[in-house]
Amino acid sequence: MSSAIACRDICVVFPTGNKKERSVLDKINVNFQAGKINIITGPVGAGKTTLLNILAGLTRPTSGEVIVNNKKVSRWTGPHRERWRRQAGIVFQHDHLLHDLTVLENIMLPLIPLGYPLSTCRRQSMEALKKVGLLHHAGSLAKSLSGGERQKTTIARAIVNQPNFIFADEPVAHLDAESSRQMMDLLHHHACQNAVVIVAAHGLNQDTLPENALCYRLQNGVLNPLSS
Amino acid sequence: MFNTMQIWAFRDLLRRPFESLLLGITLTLTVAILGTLLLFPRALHDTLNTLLKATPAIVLRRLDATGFCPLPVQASVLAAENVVGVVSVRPRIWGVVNGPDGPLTIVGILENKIPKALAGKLTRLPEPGQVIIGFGVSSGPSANTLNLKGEISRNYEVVDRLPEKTSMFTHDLVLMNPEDARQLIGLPQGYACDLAIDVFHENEQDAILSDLTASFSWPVECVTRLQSQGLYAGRLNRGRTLVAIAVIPGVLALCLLVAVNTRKSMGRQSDLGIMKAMGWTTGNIVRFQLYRELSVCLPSVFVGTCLSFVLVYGPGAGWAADFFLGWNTLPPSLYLEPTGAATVVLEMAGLMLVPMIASAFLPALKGATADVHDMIKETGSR
Repeated sequence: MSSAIACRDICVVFPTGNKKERSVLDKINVNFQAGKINIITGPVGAGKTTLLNILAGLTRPTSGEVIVNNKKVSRWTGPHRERWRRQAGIVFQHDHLLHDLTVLENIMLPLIPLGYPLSTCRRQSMEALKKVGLLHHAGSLAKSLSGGERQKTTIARAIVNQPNFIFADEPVAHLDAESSRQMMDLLHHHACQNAVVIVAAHGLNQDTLPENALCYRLQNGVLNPLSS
Repeated sequence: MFNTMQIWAFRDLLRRPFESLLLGITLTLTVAILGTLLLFPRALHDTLNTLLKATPAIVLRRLDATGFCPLPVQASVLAAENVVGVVSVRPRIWGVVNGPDGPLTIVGILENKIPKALAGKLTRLPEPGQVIIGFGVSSGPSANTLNLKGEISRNYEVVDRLPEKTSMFTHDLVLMNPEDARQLIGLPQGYACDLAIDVFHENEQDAILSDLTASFSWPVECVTRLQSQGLYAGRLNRGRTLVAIAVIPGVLALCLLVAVNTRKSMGRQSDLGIMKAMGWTTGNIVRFQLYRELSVCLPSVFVGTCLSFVLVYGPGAGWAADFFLGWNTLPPSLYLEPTGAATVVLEMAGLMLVPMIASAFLPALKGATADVHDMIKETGSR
């Protein structure tokens, strides 16, 4: 059975002070399927990161539900959502690496709680590093990397445990055209292996987009599909 | 042997080796100091209690206008034995004379009147002209003779030495033939220094005092075992007061350590948020923190406790005798009883481990109900 994640009437309202509120997401209804990269575009402040955070179980919507494989994730209690996140790979807008750890150790992070032997964690992480072309940086401290290298590291960390769901927030914002294409190809490869891949990007670069990507535009709290 | 999480926790410590080492050393020293301060009075109290249990229930001495004076053995033993409740009466000959390095306590000892505390410790009895000396008695230039000065000055042949482990009560003791002791302290024939009296029931000590006093035709003073225990307890309390004062900075140091550890752990809230986003559950994080803290705390508490144990129960702790008991002449090596040590060690371990580990748990428990997004404090755009 292929994985799927759906939003049902997702609303997010942020308080802006003086008892006023701002609606960021307004009744979002969408189905994200495996097999293709789903790309959400929109202007800065449209709510792309908020939507990805809700999908990844990092925060809760004001109302509405997130349904994963017919289960209401957003209604789950903390421990259930913690276990659900093991199925997800997350690429943050800001790298959020642990800077005291080496690149390899950062990538091993999602594997440690799964109980694999350390040698297996290390081997899988080296493979992920090889895929993003950072094998030579395995022993470097994360804080010593450039912005682009950090972004590649976060992508490697997101794919290391072969997740069923990948949520990537601006994954190629700091990369050159060639690297951007490679990273999008890598995400597309995972989408083809039955993972649901959702990418948030404020602009679309046609050169880096995979051919069969599904694009959506988020504006004024409303998500509308675009032709690929 | 170790699972992945334990290895990961240990690696986390090694990422900040100096910080971990410093924490470990500080904890070790705090445990060692606090442990010593708590163990020593307890050990001294237990040991003294055991020793006092081997002393006579009542010691009776004769008084006259000048103070204590010798009592006639036959009449005194008869008077004491007539009191109901008295089990045995033992006349004692003892006194303080000068040895080569300071004052020594001499005890005249008879085969059928060996004190309970020395039972089993003597392999032979001193013949006239012979002495058996305590471990702290220096026999002077010649190892086999001991010169003692009292009413007379005389050299005695040293035939044996009491075991070092009995130093708590035999350190400055010289056991000799009763006739030699009598000559040395100028005690007339047929007289003794005091009477050691044992009673049928421990709780009868105080009750028969009035009967005992009345049965003698001269004034006497009786000291019971309970009074001796009270006297030593009073002396120990002086030491305990000093210990209590010294424990305060130790506890403050512990509080400071816990505060620093809590602050450090809370500062890692963002890291814990990232770990949760990567699939770590609250349980995983708690286990990780537990392993990390135990990796430092357990060895520190163990080494610190061993250090305090060696300081208190190790041989050669004569410094403490001077400090606590004021024995500044020939201070003994204390061989204290470790019977009550387990309780103190467990108290110490609890006192150190519980707050330290709790301080590491706080951030994990705080994050258990928080949204991961809030923990990470993401500053990105919406």
